[in-house]
Amino acid sequence: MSVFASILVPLDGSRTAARGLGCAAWLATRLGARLHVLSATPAELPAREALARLRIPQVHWPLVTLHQAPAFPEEAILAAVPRHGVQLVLMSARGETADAAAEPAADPTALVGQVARAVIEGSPVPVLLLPPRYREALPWQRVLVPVSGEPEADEALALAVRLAAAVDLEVHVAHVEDPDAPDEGLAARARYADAVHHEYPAQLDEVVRRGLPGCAPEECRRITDVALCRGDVAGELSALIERTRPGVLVVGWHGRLRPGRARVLGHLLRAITCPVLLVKPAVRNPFRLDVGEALQ
Amino acid sequence: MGLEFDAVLFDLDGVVTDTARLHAAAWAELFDEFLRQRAAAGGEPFRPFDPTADYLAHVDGKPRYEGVRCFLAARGIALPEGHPADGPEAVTVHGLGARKDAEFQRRLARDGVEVFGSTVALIRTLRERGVKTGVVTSSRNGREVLRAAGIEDLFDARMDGLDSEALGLAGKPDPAPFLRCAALLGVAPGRAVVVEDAVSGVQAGRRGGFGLVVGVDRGGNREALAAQGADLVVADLGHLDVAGLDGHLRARREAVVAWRIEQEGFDPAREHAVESLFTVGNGYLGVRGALDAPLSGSQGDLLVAGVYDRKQATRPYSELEFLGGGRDDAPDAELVSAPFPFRVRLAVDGVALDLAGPHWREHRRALDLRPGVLRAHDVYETEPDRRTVVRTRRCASLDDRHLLLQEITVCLENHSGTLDLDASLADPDLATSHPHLVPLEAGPPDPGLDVHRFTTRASGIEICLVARTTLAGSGRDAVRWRVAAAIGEALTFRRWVVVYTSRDTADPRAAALERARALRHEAFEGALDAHAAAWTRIWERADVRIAGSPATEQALRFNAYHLVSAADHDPRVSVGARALTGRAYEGHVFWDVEIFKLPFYLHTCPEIARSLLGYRHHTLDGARRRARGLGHPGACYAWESTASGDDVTPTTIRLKTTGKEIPIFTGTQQIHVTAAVAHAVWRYWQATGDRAFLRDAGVEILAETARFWASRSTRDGGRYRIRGVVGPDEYHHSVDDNAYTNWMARFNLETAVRAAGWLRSEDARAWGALAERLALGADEPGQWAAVARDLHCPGPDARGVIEQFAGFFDLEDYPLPREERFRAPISRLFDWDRINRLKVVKQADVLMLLHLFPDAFPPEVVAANYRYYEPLTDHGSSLSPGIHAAVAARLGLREDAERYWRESLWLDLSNAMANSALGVHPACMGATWQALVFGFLGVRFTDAGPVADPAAAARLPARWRGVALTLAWRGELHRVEVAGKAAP
Repeated sequence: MSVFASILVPLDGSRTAARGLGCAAWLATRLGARLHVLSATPAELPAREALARLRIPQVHWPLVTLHQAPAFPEEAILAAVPRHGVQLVLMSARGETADAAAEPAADPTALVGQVARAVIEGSPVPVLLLPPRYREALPWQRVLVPVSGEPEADEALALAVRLAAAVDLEVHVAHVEDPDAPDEGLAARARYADAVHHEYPAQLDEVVRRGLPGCAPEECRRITDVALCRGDVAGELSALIERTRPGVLVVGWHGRLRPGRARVLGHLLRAITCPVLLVKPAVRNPFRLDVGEALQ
Repeated sequence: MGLEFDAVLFDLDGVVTDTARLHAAAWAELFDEFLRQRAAAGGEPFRPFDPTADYLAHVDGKPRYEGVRCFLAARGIALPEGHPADGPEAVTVHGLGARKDAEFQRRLARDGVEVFGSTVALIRTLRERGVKTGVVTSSRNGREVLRAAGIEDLFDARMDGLDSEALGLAGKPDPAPFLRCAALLGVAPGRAVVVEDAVSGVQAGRRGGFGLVVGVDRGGNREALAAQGADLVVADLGHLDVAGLDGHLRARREAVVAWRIEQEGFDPAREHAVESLFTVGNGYLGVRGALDAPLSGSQGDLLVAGVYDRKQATRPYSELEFLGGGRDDAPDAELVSAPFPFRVRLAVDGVALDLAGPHWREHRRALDLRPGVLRAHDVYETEPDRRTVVRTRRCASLDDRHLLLQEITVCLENHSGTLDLDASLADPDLATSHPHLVPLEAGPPDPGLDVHRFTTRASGIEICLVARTTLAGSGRDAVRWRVAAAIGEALTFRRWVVVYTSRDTADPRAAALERARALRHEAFEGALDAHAAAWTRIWERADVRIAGSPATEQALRFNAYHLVSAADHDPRVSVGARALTGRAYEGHVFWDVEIFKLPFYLHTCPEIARSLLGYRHHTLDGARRRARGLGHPGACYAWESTASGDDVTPTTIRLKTTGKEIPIFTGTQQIHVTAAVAHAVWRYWQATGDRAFLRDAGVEILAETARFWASRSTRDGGRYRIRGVVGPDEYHHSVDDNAYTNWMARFNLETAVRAAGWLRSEDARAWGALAERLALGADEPGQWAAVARDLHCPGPDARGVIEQFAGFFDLEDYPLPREERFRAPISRLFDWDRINRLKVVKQADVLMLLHLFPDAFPPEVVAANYRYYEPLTDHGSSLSPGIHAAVAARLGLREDAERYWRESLWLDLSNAMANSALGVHPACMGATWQALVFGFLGVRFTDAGPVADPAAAARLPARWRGVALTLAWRGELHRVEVAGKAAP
């Protein structure tokens, strides 16, 4: 079963929005996925003509299902997800409304346009978001996944290794400790330091492993690099991205772009040129261990 | 005394209101009409709905549509699901549900609602006693029924079918509605009682982890209610009162809950931690508690004590970042993990039954501590509505340590089909998961036997696993089974796995085959019984009763279970930092064996304590090599050792990403482990009077270690000093005169002198032989005595505080933020050199002295040191809270003592360190036991045996009504009992 059997690309008619078509076509080809393109156009055109205008190479046309309408507001995009069995949405962080805007600020609410924000918050499936400075660099060679020991990061890692196995990528994993946020990340998980040469490698290993319980060994073997860094998370990740040039950054996140939150995401979106695959945690099964004082 | 529960949750129909007969009649009306029409149309005979049997089996207590589905499935009828808006005319699941509802409404309007007077009386009494009450019903008419019966005011919270639907909750037997109701009442499930008359409701109560589940049998349902988990079944609630409920709950906690660690549900991210907790072991081997049908990411390691090999990339991810420095090429650098020996693959009609797939509905595991058995219960639903139940149990025999036992029972509850069971132990990912192993043989030497033989790459140890699997009643063995299973038939498979290594015998294959072939199918239960009997003998000596706190009892038993599972009677092995429950710490043996774990063994299973000291005697040559390497005579035990006793501590680690290199000082400077061994030898001698041990091993250990200390101490200004060490507090390296190290070294020197004198007078010939073998100079014991006399052992200053090491008081103050206590930040790793200059302590250091030498310091000195060091300590080690609990308890600091005790007691069960996935913490378990025995109880040993401190009663946590345990002392078992203030 393909990781993403169906990919949705909403286009609002802007150049910015259309930048992702190359990546979408490449990904769909590699995955054998169907590509649903929502093309906002004042007047519906014959499919071939519309595809040509979108500059989708003819070789990819058999993969594409084109949907044309005068506009695709966020509700229409989100409704298309279940309707077409979509498993990935690929879109630009800012579309038509943002094309003319000035230099984006670090605040992710300003970096991400209204439609994109509604989609990434409301989408039940992962969203591949193209940052404002997106530069197409195909084919992808590797994927970078920040991990933290938190459930959303687990989901991101699991998806990343499956994607990597399907598309033939290396997976680089990074865990960054922010000394100014000691309750986040590895330090929060490892409540006792103990013998550093035993505890920290084992903990780092577990932070990676815990995200992979259902992944096949050949998928896990895609992980070829694991880094432990300390410092500002956004800065350290940006430096890693600069150094390793991943094709895509896969990020687990909580799902809301409120001001003040998603700070790291905001900084990354401003700085990087590769797309960011946003993965929200799935609903977890209930789990209970009957121990402790609650028993009495 | 308060009640053991805070809330009671009642089912409505059949428990509070007598509407069950209305429901049964409405169901009968619906289904009879439907079945009649179907019979007429299809020409098949009409078989009516049985308002008793069918009602109880298929629809009672379930949400309406679920009841329709279940009954139809039982008759082999499939209908379209339809839509919730379907009217009664629709021949769909929802349509039939609407028809039933209409019929029920009609009868409700016509007949009204009667209540059970006894139930209402009980509810009123409960409310008068301050107990909260709730009502939980699957009925969408719940509110109407309550209103019609005029009893809305009897309940503080209610959940009916409409509430569940609005919240998106699954219905009974899912526990969600009950859990939601308990949450509305603000009561933990463990402190709530569920009262139910339906099997599905009882299942929900059990699965929800409620404190007590009461079944109400209005007729013909008693056995089913009990079988599905009702703790007691009554014909009417008139048979119960508040005191009765309280008594049953208390009894259940003490008899069942306090002997079991139960897990319900499944969270893949927590699975590795659960695997550690649910390890089965017997000291010779340990098997992590992976699922019987493991996920690809499961870590179901089989770890055999003493089987080490050269370091391999067993942690493939971290080793991309952490680069080791030194000692990695030792042929016994780390413990070897072998393939999971309980692996099975199950499929029904070609559909795999495992938790990786979409078909599982229930998953429950329980570690039964009393017999040392891990049980699992899984329910699967494969299309269409085919329910299959898989129950397993497994153990590592404590009666025959080479033997593993596993039983798998599969029941196709409501369908027939073909069951496939593949019992092959072949690991599909051996090269990656178990890189130390080179396969030598895999396959059956004769039909039915599954042989897997490996050799380790560098140490050349051969490991052989031989498995036999049989289907009960078949009289034969096979590795792969395909069986036609009838509806409701329970198929029971039993597997024996025999494990031998070349450390046990020259030909492990022959030994394993011989043992496996000698096993008889009919002896399986007997083997389980023998295993349980061995555990019974353990519990007679190791159990601790805490009256009034079953949760504490449960945790103490869990700890004792793991400590016993960790230790063998083989003097060539010891207990690693994570025992045989995980790969972390690579099976390395530290000082924690002697200081933290050994007292538990010494006073419960002294023969194990002897064996652990045997390991130190067996590895004395390694300790001699290490002393020589450090430029000294005698023996210096390795900070981290494995099979040979040579030091396997790395010298550095390097982080590839940052390029940062972090030196590891412990290997060369943490020499106090040597005195820890000596301390344990003397402690063992004191507790057992085992003359043979002292003569044959103890004196040699003491003499060789004393030689080391005499050389390692340097004379300066009329005093001997020990410079350049790391004490228990590993944040500070290269320190001089660490108080703990020096006091322990002096103890080592003094006891060596006493032991030498004892042997000289007890057995002059043996002493002569030893002196000759060790080339002991006649004046050496005198030199040890002189060094001991003049060794600088820091004492209390004017405030009563002992300086941890020379210059500690002058270090830079470090205001330890509250959030860093028990949460050491990563800067402890990255900024190791800065930490060395700060007044922050990793773990009990000076406090260790106060703990180990309780008579050496007056109470005011103990108090002064506790007050000084406790605020400086961030507890960066699992060894720390237990010692703080012990010292605080002796000082009567109840709040501190209980806080640290809880941290230590539930460290693994609460995953407090968030690292139990790497294995459990046996030394912490030992420290917890010591905190109880030597801290709260203040036990001292006299010639007559152990005596608790007269002040102990006042120290016990308020809830405890008393403590009772058994302590071994000089060949006898002594009962120690202390009544708490909460005693009735």
